[in-house]
Amino acid sequence: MTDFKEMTDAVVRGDAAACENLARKALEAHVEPQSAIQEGFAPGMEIVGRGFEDGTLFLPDMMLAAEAMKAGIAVLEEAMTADQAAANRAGKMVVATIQGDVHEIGKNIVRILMSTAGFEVVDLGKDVKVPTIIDEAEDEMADIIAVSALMTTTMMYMKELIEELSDAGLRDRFKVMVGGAPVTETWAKEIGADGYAKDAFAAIQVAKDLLGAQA
Amino acid sequence: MLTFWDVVERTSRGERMKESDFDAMLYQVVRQVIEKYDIHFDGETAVPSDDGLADRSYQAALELFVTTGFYCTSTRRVVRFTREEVEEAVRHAKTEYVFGEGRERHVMGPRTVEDPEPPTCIFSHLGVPVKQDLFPKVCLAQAQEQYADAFCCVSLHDTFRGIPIKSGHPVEIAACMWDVSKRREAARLAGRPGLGLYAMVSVGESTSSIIAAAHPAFGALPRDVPQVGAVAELKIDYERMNKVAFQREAGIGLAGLYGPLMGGYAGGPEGTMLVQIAHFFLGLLAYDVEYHICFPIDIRETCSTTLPMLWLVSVYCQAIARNSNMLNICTTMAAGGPATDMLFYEMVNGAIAHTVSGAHSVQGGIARDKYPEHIGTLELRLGAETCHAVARSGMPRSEANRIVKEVLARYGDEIHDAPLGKTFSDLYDLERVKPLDFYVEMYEQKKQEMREVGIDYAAIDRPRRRYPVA
Repeated sequence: MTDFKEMTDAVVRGDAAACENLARKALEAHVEPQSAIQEGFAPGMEIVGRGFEDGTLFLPDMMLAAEAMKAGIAVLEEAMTADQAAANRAGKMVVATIQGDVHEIGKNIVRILMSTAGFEVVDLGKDVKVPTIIDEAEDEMADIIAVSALMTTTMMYMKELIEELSDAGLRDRFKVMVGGAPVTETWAKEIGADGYAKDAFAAIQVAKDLLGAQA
Repeated sequence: MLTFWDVVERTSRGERMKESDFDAMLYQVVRQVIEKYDIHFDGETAVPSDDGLADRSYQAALELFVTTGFYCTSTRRVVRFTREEVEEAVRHAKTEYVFGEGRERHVMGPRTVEDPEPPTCIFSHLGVPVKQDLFPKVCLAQAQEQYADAFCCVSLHDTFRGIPIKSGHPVEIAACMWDVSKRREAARLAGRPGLGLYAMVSVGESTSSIIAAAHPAFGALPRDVPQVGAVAELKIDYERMNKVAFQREAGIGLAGLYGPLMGGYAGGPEGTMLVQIAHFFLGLLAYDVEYHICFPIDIRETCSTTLPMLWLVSVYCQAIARNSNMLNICTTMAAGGPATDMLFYEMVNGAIAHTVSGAHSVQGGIARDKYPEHIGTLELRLGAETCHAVARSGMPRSEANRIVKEVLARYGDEIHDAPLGKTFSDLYDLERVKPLDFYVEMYEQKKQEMREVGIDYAAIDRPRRRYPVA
C-alpha cells in the first residue's frame, strides 16, 4: 500500500532521491500518477509553503523541496499519457527579471511556487531584454509572461513590454503578470497588465484565475 | 594589503560555480556556523544585552565569509580570501567620513555600543517614487529638517521631460543630472548649501548615469556618495565594480549598500544577521568602501521593524561596533505610511535599536518604499530626535529592549496590513513647503507618548562634549 505521507515527508525534507524512489514504488503499486502527485507530493509543498509564509522555513528549504518534488514528478510523468500530462499542467509561463534589473529572488520564489502548483515554468533569468522575453514566450508557446522588477527605472520596461506586445499584434496571445518591490496594483492596471500579485503566493491564484483554472 | 585590482583579478581566477550552487553552499555554511558559534534568536528579545553573542556573531560571520567568499555573477566564479586578508582589510578600514562642507560639514566616526555620542542621522525616502513636478518640493522638505546630517530624498519616477525614465536609456542620464541638481538646489534653498547627499542619485543605476551625475556642474560635492550595492546574497558583478573603478580614482565617496533578505538565501534571523556582517567584508574587499549602509528586510513583510528583524539589526550592529571600527549606517525600513501611528512607532524603534547598538541611523523607507508620493518628514524627525535622546541620556540596552518591545506591542500585530497613510500633498503646504498643523500636532502627540514610554528627549539639550575625531 502506498504511503502518501512518506512522499509528503520526502518533499518536506527536500530528499530528491527518496521522492524518485517513492514515485517508482507508487507506479509499481499501480497508483495513478496524478493521485501520487496530488495526495503525496503536493501536500509536502503546501507544508513547506506554509512554513515559508509563517517564517519557520526559508527560501533554500523551498528550493530543496521543489527540486525534490520535481524529481518525483519526472518519474511519474514517464508513466503518464500525453493527455494525462497535459491535464496535470495548469499552464505554461515564462518568468524573467525585466531588462536592466539583476534582482531575482522574488522571481525565483515565483518560479518555485508556480512549478509546484502545476505550471510549466521557463526561467529566462535576470536583466532580460523586452524583445527577448517576447521571442522566448513565442518560441515556448507560453500562456503567461510573468516579469518582476526591483527598481522604479526598470519597472518602466514592463510598460514597454506590453506596448511591444500590442505593436506586434501579440497582446491577446499572452497574459502578462507583473510584480516586484516597487510595483503596485495601481501601476499594473495603469500599464495594462493582466495580473498583479503582492507576493509569490498570491501570484499562484492570479495565474490560475487568468487561465480560468480551478482554485 | 590587497588592492581593488587584486580583487578584480581574482574574479577571473576563482573557482567556477553555478550561481544556484553558491546559494546552496551559502545556506549550508550558514547553518554550520550558527550551530558552531551558538547563535540563536530567543524569540523574545529585540535588543540583546549580550556581548558574547555579538562577539560570537562577528567571528561566525568572519568564518562564514572566509569559507564561502563572494560570488561574481559576471564571471560565474567564487572569490575567496584568507582570514588574514579579511582581517587586514578591516584593520585598514576608514574610520571617518565627512559629509557635506562649510557649516554643514558633518564628521561620521565609529560608534560603540551604548555610545553617548549621537549617531549620524540621515533622512532618506530613497525608493519612494515621486513625479518630476513634486520632486523639488519633497527635496526641500527633507533638506529643511535640522536633524538631517545628510539627506537623500526620494526616487524620481515615471517621466522626465515627458519620456519614461528607464535604466540604460539616455533619459536616465539626463534624469540623474537633473536629480542631483535639484537636491543641491533644495539644500541651498533650505539655507544649507553644503549639506551632504547620502545617495547622490535616486534614479540612476548604471555606471554611466553615476559618472554623469557626479560632474560638479550639476551640484554634486566631492563627498556626495553614489552607493554601490551587493546582490543578494554575497554577490557582485562587473557593473557594480565599474562604478568603483571610477569613484575611487575620482575621489568620490564610496559606500557599500547591502540589504539581505530574512527568509531568503541566508535563512532566518540568525543566518541573515551573519550574512549582513559578512557583507561588510565584501564591501571592503570588492568595493573599497569607506562606509557601509545596511537595510536588511523581512522577505514576507518587506520591512525591518518586526521583532526578529529588530533583533537581527541590533545584534549585527553590536557585532560590528564591538569588533571593528568600520562605519555602519543602518536603515529603518518601515511598513507604515506617513501620518500613521505605526510609522512613528517604527521610526522610534529603528532609531533606538540602531543608536544603542552602536550604529549610525537612516530614517528611511516608508510604506515599504512602494507607494508614490507617500512621504512625510515628521516621522523621520521623531526618529532622529530619538537617536539623539537615546545616546545623550545614556540609555542602556536593557532599557532599550524594554521600550522597543513596549512600542512594538502598539503596531506589531498590524504590520502585515500596514496602513498606507497620506501623501506629501495631503501633509504639506505646497507653497511654503511646511507640514500642515494637523500633521505637526500628530508628531507632537507621538513624541509625548514616547516620553511617557521612557525616552528622555530633554537629554538632547544638555551640553554636548566635543566628538573625538579619529
